Amino acid sequence: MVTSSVVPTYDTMSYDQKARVAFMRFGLGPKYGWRERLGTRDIRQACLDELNLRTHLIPDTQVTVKGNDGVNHALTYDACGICATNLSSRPFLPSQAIAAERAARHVKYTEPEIGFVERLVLFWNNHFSILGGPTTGHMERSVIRANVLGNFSDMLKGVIGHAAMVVYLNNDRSVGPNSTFAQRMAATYKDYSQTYNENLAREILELHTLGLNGGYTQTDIISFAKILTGWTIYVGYVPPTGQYFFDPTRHEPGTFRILNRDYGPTNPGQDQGNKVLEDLAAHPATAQHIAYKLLRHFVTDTPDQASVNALAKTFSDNLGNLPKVYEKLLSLPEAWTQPMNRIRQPYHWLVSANRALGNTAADARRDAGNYSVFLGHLDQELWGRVTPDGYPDDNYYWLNGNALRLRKNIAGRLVACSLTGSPLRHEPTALAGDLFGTELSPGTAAAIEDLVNKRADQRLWPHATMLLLSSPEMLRW
Amino acid sequence: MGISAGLCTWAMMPRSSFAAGEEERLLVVVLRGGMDGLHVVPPAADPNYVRLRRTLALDPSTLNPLQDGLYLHPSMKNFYANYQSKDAAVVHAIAPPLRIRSHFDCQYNMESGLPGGNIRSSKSGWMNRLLQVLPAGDAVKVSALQVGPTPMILAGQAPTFSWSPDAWPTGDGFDAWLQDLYDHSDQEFADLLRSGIAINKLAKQPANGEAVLNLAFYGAGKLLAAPNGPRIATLSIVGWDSHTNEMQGLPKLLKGLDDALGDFRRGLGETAWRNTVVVCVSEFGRTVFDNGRDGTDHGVGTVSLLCGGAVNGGVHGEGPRLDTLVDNRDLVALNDTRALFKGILQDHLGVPRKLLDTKIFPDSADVTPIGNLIKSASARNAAQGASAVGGSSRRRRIVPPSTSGGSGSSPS
Repeated sequence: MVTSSVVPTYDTMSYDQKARVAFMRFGLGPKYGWRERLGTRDIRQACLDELNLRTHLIPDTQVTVKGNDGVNHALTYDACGICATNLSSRPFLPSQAIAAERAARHVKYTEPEIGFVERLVLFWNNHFSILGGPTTGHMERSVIRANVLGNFSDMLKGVIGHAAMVVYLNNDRSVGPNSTFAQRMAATYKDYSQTYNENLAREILELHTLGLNGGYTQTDIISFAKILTGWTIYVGYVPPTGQYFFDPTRHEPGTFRILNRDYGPTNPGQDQGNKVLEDLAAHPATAQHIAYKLLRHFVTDTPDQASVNALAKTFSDNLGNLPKVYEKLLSLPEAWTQPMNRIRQPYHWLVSANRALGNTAADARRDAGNYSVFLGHLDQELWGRVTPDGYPDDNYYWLNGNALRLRKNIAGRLVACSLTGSPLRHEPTALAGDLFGTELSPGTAAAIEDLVNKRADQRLWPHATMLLLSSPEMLRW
Repeated sequence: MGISAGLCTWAMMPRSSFAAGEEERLLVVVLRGGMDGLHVVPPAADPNYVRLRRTLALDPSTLNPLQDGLYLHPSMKNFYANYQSKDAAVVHAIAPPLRIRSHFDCQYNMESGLPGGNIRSSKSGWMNRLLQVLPAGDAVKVSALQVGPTPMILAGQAPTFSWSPDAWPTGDGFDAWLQDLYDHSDQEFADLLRSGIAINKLAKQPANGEAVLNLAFYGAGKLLAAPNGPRIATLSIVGWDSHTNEMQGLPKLLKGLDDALGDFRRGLGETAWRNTVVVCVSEFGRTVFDNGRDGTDHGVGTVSLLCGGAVNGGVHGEGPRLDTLVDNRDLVALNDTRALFKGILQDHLGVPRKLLDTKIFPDSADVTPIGNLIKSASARNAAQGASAVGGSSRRRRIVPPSTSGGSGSSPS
């Protein structure tokens, strides 16, 4: 094979090459017939055009759980809060809420052509990683989806000011030692010793905004923790129990300094913490951190510092306007020309396998429980990460012999699941050709074709389809 | 041939004599959720026991006696049999140094091997740092195995490999087709798939409706026994967070663990078992009192369980003590999990104290390894026969490997 001496650029790449990058790097994987639907549109523009469709929102009414009262409950904040409060009268359990939310995502993924916005939602889910609880899915819908095409500062404030994060990082129990609540408790209980909890403050600085080397100190963490006292949830028997609220009686009074700025009584109550979040969102270290993470996830394990700087500059210049940042990301040459040499992460791969099979919303609803089992084995279930640092993007974490073996086994299961809904929708060589066009390697094409031709009937079509789902074309990005 | 290759692999570490083909194995089982140590190894002879445990107090006549007023829950039959042959031990009143009753903070602390103080600054687990100090031999030989996704305890730069049991084999025919596809279109995938399938074949047994847990432990045993397999492994079991339904639920979990340990031994085989240590730990214990909902809430001190042919049977470490509690609710942790791990690494794997105090468990010079956890070489060799000899509690002698170590089989 002759290697070209010309460095590829977006403009010199073939249509099929660009499409493969768009679908695998920035999308949810191709669906049969994508060429007809995309027409001759520029691929990069087609990704950006998806930012203008408001089709990523999932209202409460679209996620329901059948309770033990026989009623279909929509997952409103009220309903999730009751579930979270552990009341024996609650109509459904947290595990049911989480399962319903996860299933609703699989249904959603059948819809977009490319899926750029869904991939961005997944990115922010992982950035603000939470171990699944009854309000986690609600937070994603009401905050992340609501702000993914908006502003980072708004997303940050919304995430922190939601029950899901506050409970996950134990801030609901955080109490200012000099707050009126603490003073009252100390007067009543001899051994009362509850104090502020550092977890939320630390993770906001380390993971969500500035990053580990962002220049904050332990003193800053403590100051921030005190500012965040009072960011808690209602406790009670009826809504809004389990929902976020600011409790002034738990709030530590005073003025606190973070990174050489004072936050005091001029920002009363929750405003004090919000002001800190706004300032963190506007901090240059945050722009660098977010830029780095975006490149690390979407493009390469080793991003070019110049590209990180360029993306960070766009973030800062536009005051955290996220669509501008996404546009800049797609304008970077390496977003398209970077070789596809990492293994696609399990969740994306599973979703793209289902799209390649042509699964419908009904298939997704029927098999969501199975997908959950498979994703558990692959170690990337949505909201399944125990620690707040989220799933790693490092290739070495995902690529090993056991992982490949599991992918091929699960490819078999995905085909089997799909077959319970309908026979194979496409002959395997036609499917492979449609999805990848000239990007389909001779080795993969030959293997699929050989299997299809081995028998005069269609008995080996499922196996040929499994080969396609396990192929480097489906597994590399 | 095998024995001299083994020697080169371990050249930097002091070794004791051992029979041909054998090397020390270590399995660390992380019991996630906070196991109620007082229910697994009840101090039922303590005068405070019944009053404090309330509805969770167990009747000693239903329990298997260990020593020093400690008993073992009857669900753990294999473990008790091991105990009676001096192949099992407990260290009670133990916890990692961070004692804040939080699942992921305390698990992180236990797995990262850091001191107390809630700083999650480590990017690696102590088992990975252990790997980093073991000299590299054959790539797989010193590598460690995690069953299931990479846990913190094994995360880090030193390469490890993973295996997990699953019930969805695609069959040798399909595997060959896919291998052929990769051979023609992606060399990296081709190599990895080949090794992934080979490792799985090593681990798997014909499925007889075994639960995933049993398959996992059996498979881990087979892999640790394999001549070119790993020597260090970790497995996790979740579900120990017994806020409710403890009287009915915990015994089932204990039986599950007990059966799994039996499966591990079967996979390992008796020869390798002789040089194996299994240690089971949990991130914290539970409240001494029941919580009014037939369960217990998060606590501090719990029990750790050790079994294996290399284990010096009995009760080690301090405590437990019920005369004083943490915050009037929890078992005081008199032992640090780092001391337990250090004792095993030092006496079983021969890791020098200096490395234990600095690299593997940073800033832990003040944490003394628990002694007497490991049978001496002579006690191990003597135990080869049908009856076990009470192991000498002195430390393992370090002798040059060419000395005959007893009635071991000759090198092949």
